[in-house]
Amino acid sequence: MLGIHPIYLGMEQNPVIKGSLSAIILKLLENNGRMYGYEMTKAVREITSNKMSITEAALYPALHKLVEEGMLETISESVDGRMRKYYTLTKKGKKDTIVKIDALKDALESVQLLLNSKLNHG
Amino acid sequence: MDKVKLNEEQINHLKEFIKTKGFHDHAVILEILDHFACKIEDIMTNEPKMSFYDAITKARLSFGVMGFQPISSAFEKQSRKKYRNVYFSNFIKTVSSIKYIPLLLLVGYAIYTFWIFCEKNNYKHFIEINDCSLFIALFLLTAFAVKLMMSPGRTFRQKSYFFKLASSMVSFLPFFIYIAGPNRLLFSDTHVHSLRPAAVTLAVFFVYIAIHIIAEYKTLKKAIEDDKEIERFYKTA
Repeated sequence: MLGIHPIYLGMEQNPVIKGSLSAIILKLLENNGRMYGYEMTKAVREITSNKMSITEAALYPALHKLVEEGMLETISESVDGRMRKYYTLTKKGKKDTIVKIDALKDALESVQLLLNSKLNHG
Repeated sequence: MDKVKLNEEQINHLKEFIKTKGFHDHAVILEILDHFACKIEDIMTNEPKMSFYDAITKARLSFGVMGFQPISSAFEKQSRKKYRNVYFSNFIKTVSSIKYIPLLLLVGYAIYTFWIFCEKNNYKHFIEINDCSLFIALFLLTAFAVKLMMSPGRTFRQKSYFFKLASSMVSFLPFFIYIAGPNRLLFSDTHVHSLRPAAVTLAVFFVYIAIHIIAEYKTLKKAIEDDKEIERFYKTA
C-alpha cells in the first residue's frame, strides 16, 4: 500500500466510512456550532490523528445533500478576502443528529459483535 | 508558528488559476476558492520554505485526479435543485395567494369568452388570417417583447451562473404540458351543459401559463439577487 494507511486513502475508498459521512458531519456541527468545508476535513484528520480523511469529492456532495434535506443551512461571509460558506444545523438537523448518531453507534456495535463472533468461532 | 494568510494579490492569482482549469463562473470559483486557499495556507504554514507557487501545485494535487470537478458538479446539482424547489414553492404560493386568485380567474374568464367569441364568428381556424388569429399573434408578440424587456442584459446573462441555471430549468414546462394535453381538445365540438370543454381547457391552460409566468418571474428574480450577491463577494474578495 506504498506505506499509506488504507483508511487514509479517503472516505470514498472506504464504504463503511462513506455511509457514515453525513452522521460525522452532523456530529461535528453539533459539537462546534458552525463550520466551513475545509475546517471539517481538518477536524476529522485531527480527531482521528490523521488515520482518516474526508476528500472534497465526498464532503461537498454530502454537505449539499444535507442542505437539500433541510438538515443544514448556510451563511456566506467575507473572510480574509474571500467568501466563506459556514454550515450550521437547522432545528430538523439538531433532532436528526441524535437519531443518526444512535443508529450509527448501533450499527458499529453490531459490526463489532459480528467481527468478534467470527474471531471466537475461527 | 504563525499561520500564513494569503494576501489580495495571491487570492486574485488563485482565482485566475481556477479559471485556467476550466471553471469560469464566479459562483463556482468562489465555491472552490476558500477550500483551496485554506489548503495552501496550511501547506505554507507547515512548510515555511515552500513557495506560494509550489504550495498551489501541492494543494491542487491533493484534490485528486478529478481536481475541482467534484466540488463544481456538487454545487451545480444542488443549485439546480434549489431553483426547482424555489419554482415549485412560488407556483404553490401563486395558486393559493389571495392576491393572485382574482387575476387568475380573470385570465381564465377572458380566454373562455374569447374562445366563445371566436366560435360564434366562425374564427375557429387560427391558421387562417382573421381577427382572432391576428389577436393571438399580437398577444404572443407582446408577451415575447415584455419577456425580453424584463430579462437582464446580455452581459449579465452571460456571466450570471444562477440565472442561467434557473432559466434553463423552468422554461420548457408549459410547452411540454401544452403538447401533452389541451391542444388535442381544441378541435372538439362537444358541449357539457352550457359549457364548451374546448374553451374551458384553453382557459385552464392559459391560467396555468399565467401561474407559470409568475412563478418563473419570481424564481429568476431570486436567481438574479443571488448572482448580484456573488458578484459583490467576487469583487470584494
